[in-house]
Amino acid sequence: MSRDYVKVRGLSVSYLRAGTLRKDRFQALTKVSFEIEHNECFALVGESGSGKSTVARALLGLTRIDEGTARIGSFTVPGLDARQWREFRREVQVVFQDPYLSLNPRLSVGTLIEEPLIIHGVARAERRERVADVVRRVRLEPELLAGRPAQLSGGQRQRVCIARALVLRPRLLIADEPVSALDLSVQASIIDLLAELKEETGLTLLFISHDLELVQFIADRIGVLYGGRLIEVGSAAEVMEDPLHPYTKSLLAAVPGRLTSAVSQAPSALPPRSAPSNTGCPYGTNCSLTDMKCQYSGPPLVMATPTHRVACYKAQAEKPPTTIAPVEGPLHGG
Amino acid sequence: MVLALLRARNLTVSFGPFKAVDDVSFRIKHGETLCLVGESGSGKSMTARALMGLLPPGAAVGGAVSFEELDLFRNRALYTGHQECGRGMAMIFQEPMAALNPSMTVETLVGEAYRLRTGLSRQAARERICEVLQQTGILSPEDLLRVYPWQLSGGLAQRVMIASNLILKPRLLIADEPTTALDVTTQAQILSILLRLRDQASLALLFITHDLSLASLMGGETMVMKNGIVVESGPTIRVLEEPAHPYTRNLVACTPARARREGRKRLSPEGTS
Repeated sequence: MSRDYVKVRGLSVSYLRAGTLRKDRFQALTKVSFEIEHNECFALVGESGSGKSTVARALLGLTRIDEGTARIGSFTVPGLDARQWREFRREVQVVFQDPYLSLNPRLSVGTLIEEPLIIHGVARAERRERVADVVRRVRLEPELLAGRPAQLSGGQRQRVCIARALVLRPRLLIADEPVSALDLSVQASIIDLLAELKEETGLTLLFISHDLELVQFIADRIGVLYGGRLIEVGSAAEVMEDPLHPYTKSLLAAVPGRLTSAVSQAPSALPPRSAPSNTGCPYGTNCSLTDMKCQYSGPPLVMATPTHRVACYKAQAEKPPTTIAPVEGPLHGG
Repeated sequence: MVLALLRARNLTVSFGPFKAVDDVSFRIKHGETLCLVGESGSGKSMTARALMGLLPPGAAVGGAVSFEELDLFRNRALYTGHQECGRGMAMIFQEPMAALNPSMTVETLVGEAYRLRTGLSRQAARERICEVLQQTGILSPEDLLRVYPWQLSGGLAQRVMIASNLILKPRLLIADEPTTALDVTTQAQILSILLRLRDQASLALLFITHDLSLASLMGGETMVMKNGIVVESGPTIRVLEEPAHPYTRNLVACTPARARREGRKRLSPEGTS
């Protein structure tokens, strides 16, 4: 049997475009496949609109899946009935981006953490024990349990959200941009906490983020999404040190901490990026290496090394240059 | 001697007994950059708002700010009056979408203040509008004139925002977290536009950010704030490479870039998790 705990196959999701009477659908995900091993942290990275949150929503059953399946442990989404969903939610939990919006302000912190246990019918004595255990694990001061979320800082709130998710002892935690609303120093402590929890409790993590530089501190493997397609998957070291897809390269080149002296390396006067192509390579129109073949049919995700896959014809034929050439635009000195 | 473009002395912003900005002094010279770095609640945005006269109701301001030798607080009426409004300094905000009126076209948004000032007709102002849009890296500004903000991507909206400020040729641009809501690749583009404007149009920048690695890109001087107080200031390279204050040291150590450079496995510096 394979060691994969999560196995996503050909996942496609589309949304009805807002405000249209036509049957006009926006393709949010196109045939996304990946797998996550037991106790592994898989990071999905992409810019806004790339579909990374849609993956999380689809896996959690919060959005309709058009095509494809996701097997998580013994469950296969879609196709669960109400009872199975209930069991599923014991095993799969989620932490959202904004801890200011995801906690009911009227409940005490202690109740918030205990709530999932009440819903799942855990006996009172065990509830108390489990809450105490999880509070210690996420390093919340026990005095805070009597207070309300409004009295907590952003970092403390996110710890409460994590505690709420972990109190059911799930096997998979989906974290959708869990630190992007937090200050830098708080971000560091939350990332370290998640990495620690993963080591101590054998948790499997799906970590969704826009920050490629950040995910290397928690991810074992990284998948890069662009225009609803997975364009590169590999071990964290491979994607960070030896990115193959031109988009991944430009993404890495734009990370502020990597450009130490000048922003000039990043294209500055490009026309607005056009919407991803539906037939060809999604990055085609924005890529400097694109040719007829790329426009005609989208490149499949193929193996570059046993652990590294990339969806780019150019990355297979020849290695593209490692830096993106600066694009000089017209700028009339004002 | 080069006179400072903007000079703030003992600037204080208080809400009742609470001091959001506490005795802050700094100066910005022509065409130079001052980065204001701090975490949420450090008072960096309040400092900028005090300069622009955009403080929320209930805020009391103290100290003195002079811009081109004009005492702002004493001459507030003169400065923000119809004629002088927005001429010398301009400000761009974090959420370009929220800052642009959704019922106005790009042409109106960028040209409104300019036409009010010059009395030019729509036609006559169009050339200048296209010129500033081009300065922000928009290749075919004509196509954008009839577009509404909600049809723009975040990066384009921020460019329109910058253009609407540039059109009056300000000497100081205050950028309050201008790229926080944007993707990294878009962020890099916006930053390089700001840097080019600084170098080519000799625009002074007050760049406000929570991200130290952005400050290191912008260069110039950096001022680190915490709880309304300046804890450290100096040349950006010095502040980031050899931070003297323990708060700055911890902040620098928490950045993923620094952790990677030091080959650390964990993000938090030791002993502060």
